[in-house]
Amino acid sequence: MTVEEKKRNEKLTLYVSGRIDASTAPELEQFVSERTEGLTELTLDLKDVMYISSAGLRVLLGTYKTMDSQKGKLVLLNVNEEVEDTLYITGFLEFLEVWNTEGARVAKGKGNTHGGQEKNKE
Amino acid sequence: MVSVAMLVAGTISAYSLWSMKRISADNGKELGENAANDAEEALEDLAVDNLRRITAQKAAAIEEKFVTVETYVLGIAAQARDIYEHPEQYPDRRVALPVPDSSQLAAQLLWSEELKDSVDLETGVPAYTEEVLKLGNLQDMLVQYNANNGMVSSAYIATESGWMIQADYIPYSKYNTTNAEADHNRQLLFEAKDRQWYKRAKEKGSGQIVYTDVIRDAHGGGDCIVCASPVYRGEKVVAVAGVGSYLETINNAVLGMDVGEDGYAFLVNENGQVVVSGKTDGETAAYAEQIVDLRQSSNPMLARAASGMVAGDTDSVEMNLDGKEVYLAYAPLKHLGWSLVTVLEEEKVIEPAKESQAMILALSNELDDKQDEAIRGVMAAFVVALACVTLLVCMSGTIFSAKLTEPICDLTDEVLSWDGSDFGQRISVLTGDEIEDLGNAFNDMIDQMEEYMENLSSVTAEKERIRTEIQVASRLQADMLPAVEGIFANREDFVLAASMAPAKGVGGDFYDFFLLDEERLALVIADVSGKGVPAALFMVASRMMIRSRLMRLERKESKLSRAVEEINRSLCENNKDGMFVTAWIGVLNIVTGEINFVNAGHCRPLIISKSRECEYDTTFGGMMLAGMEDTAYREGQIALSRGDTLLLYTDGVTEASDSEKNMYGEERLLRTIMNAGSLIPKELLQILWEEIDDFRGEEPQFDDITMLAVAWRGRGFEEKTGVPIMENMQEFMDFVESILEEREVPVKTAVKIHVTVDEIYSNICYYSGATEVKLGIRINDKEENGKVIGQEIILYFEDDGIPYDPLTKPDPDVAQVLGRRKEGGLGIYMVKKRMDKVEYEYVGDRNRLTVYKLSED
Repeated sequence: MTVEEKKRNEKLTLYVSGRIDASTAPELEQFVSERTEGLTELTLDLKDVMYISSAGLRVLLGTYKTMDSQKGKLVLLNVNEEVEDTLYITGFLEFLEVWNTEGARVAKGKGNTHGGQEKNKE
Repeated sequence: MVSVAMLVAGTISAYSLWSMKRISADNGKELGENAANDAEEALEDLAVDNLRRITAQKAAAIEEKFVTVETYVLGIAAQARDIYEHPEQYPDRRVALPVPDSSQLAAQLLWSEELKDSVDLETGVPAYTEEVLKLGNLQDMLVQYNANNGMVSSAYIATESGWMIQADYIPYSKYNTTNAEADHNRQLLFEAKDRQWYKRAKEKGSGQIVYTDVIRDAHGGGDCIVCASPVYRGEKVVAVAGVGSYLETINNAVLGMDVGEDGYAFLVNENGQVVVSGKTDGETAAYAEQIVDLRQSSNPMLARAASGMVAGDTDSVEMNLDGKEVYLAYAPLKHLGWSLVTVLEEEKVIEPAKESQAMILALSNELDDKQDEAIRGVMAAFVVALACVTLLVCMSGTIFSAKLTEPICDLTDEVLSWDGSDFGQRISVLTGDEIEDLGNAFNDMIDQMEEYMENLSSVTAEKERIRTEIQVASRLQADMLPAVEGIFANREDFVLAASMAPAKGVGGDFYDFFLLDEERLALVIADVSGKGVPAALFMVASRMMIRSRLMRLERKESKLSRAVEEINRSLCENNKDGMFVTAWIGVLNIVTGEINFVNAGHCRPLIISKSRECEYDTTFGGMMLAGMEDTAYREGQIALSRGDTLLLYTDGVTEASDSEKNMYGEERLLRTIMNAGSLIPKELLQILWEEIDDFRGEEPQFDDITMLAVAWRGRGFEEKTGVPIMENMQEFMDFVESILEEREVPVKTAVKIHVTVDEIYSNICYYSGATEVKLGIRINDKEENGKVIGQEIILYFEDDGIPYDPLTKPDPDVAQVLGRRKEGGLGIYMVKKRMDKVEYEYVGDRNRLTVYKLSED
């Protein structure tokens, strides 16, 4: 996993690539936590992220809590089908601003928006 | 006057005729008795001859078993050497400890007291060294050899450093040794280096074989003999491979011998001692406590025979043994330096002779009756002649009477002078009348007698010989075939069945199959030309040669063809009777489904897909084996798909004929397969057999009908074992990924599997406290109504950590707003949500979590 950053004022965008799993999540967590202070908006561009495991979700959760506490916003960009499914199953989708790879906002309470096919077993 | 003379002449003639009849009848009986006695002698000779021959054949058959065992030992040693030379090419594999109370075949780890210092106090096991982890790769081979062959009671390798990996059926016994006293449960000490097999093997060079004396098995407690071979690394012996055979097993092979009804067999070792005996008392029993050298026997005949045995001779002798007249035959078991001895009571040998004696007597009585008829005919003629003569005599007086009676008296004299032994003697009466006829009838009788006599010894003997030959040959043929039932029964990667229905009179078909290593299964089907014992013996030789050469087929050596060329060359050298073998010899890679094969003039195999599409392998065929020494063979390849079945058969299948001489043929075979209710090898063969049998109807079976079917299903679980730390996760991920890729699992499904591995693996790392984790993965085609609907991926994790069932963990509340969420529980929740099924069990001190997932496109 690699992370690149781009900062404009109090808005930070992190371009993550690879997979966010048990072995890489601590790295991401540290990277993010070092940069959240004073941010109003944190965007994670997940274009090159294959999948997120529960360890990755924990990072998202922690980050969300931090941003929430400083009245900031957490946005996920370019979320692929797999990641979206993960977010949906775990209820994260309800509380995050998530955009899929097709550039569409993923509606809350909706599952998979990719190609309009409902594939998960909920 | 004339009439008185006539009457006198007539009376004399009649009297002479009758007396001649009586005499020749007596002679006929005598002749019969002589014949019977001669037959008895001939039969005795033959029985002794046969006994010697059967003994030699049986010795060869037993020897073949030892050759197989030797091949195993050399195979283990060779594999071990490769492991020592290229440890990097082998994964680490732990060998489990013996399971107490278990009598399941298993590879088990034992160690010497030398390793005591490194013993982990908690586990009771010494610290695993790289050496023993790498040698752990031998465990399947050891188990397989044990499962494969009744001669093998244990197969093992022991290292100079004090480790021992042993496969046998008696894991429980490891806890019964005297060594276990200190800490009865975990002290699995075994001093392999003190054992005779180890010591002897250590003295030998690489690739050499050594046998022990009969020793007491350390664990089973039975008497056994061990075949061993050293493993060298450079100049040094680093380990010894061994295979133990219980004498009982050898015993069964020996005692199971059918030596007539009351005959028995025994084995004599190189020191003239009886090792195993079918007899429990008397001069030739095996006495454990008091071993006697038979060469020192007070029975001089036995002592002399024993010297012959020790010298490795083959012979048969008549002697008195335990107060009975017996025939004793012996033949060497060259590999062991032992001799197989068979004993048959003389009385039992003579029995069939007695039967033939009765038959001969019955026969001579029949002859007697025939002669009666002839004489009656002559008498009738004589009465007619007498009437005519009476008329003539009335006219010409008494001159005739002498002329009339003279030849009859001559004949009577001649018959009287024949003592029943000289078949060269013939009666010459040249009177040109009925008297001459009578003489000729007598001569005919002697001719017939003589012929009977000659035939008798040969017919009864020949019958006996042929019967024995056929018995011996069919037993050889049957003995040789590897057992199908039970072997490979637990395998999921392939299913195999084979059948052979021998024709009357014994053909020469055989099949064979055996694992060369963990990945390669050798398959052989063959048809030896000719029938009877020579063909059967040639068959044994062919099988042995093919088997032992293939066993030595190195993995890297792709040249099966070269191996077949060598087999052909050796068969040519040993082929004095001009026999030949058609054979299909192949090696199936169990992992990839690829088959390398050489077809030496045999029927083409058939490849049957799951949907019953049949395809003949159309690759070139080659020259049959044992035909020409310098034949070059070409190698073909078949790539099986999962679920394909390879059907090998001999021409007895396609050439089975019905009463109208129609042959069963390939077309019918294909049709039967297409309509077969099952493609499970065993059932398929049964269906085919019934079809062929049906087709044949009342027609006799002319040739052996032999079939072998292998359904390839691919590897079951591919497994990876390691220490559960996060640093190792990538290795496990890569392992899973490579398999998913190889099997072309759709990316979407593959990603979900990745997440699953991630979740479960990291849980084990963080929470289980395990020291070892094993991941297994298996991918099957999932069928529904005969159609493949996708791939089923089965994944399991096994760890030795604290017992914990993650499925009992309550699901996290996913409706809860993120701000109030607690960490944890999401991982297993995601696995449960996204896999089709998750199962937990605790088996053998291990947590085992299994997940199932059907692929999504």
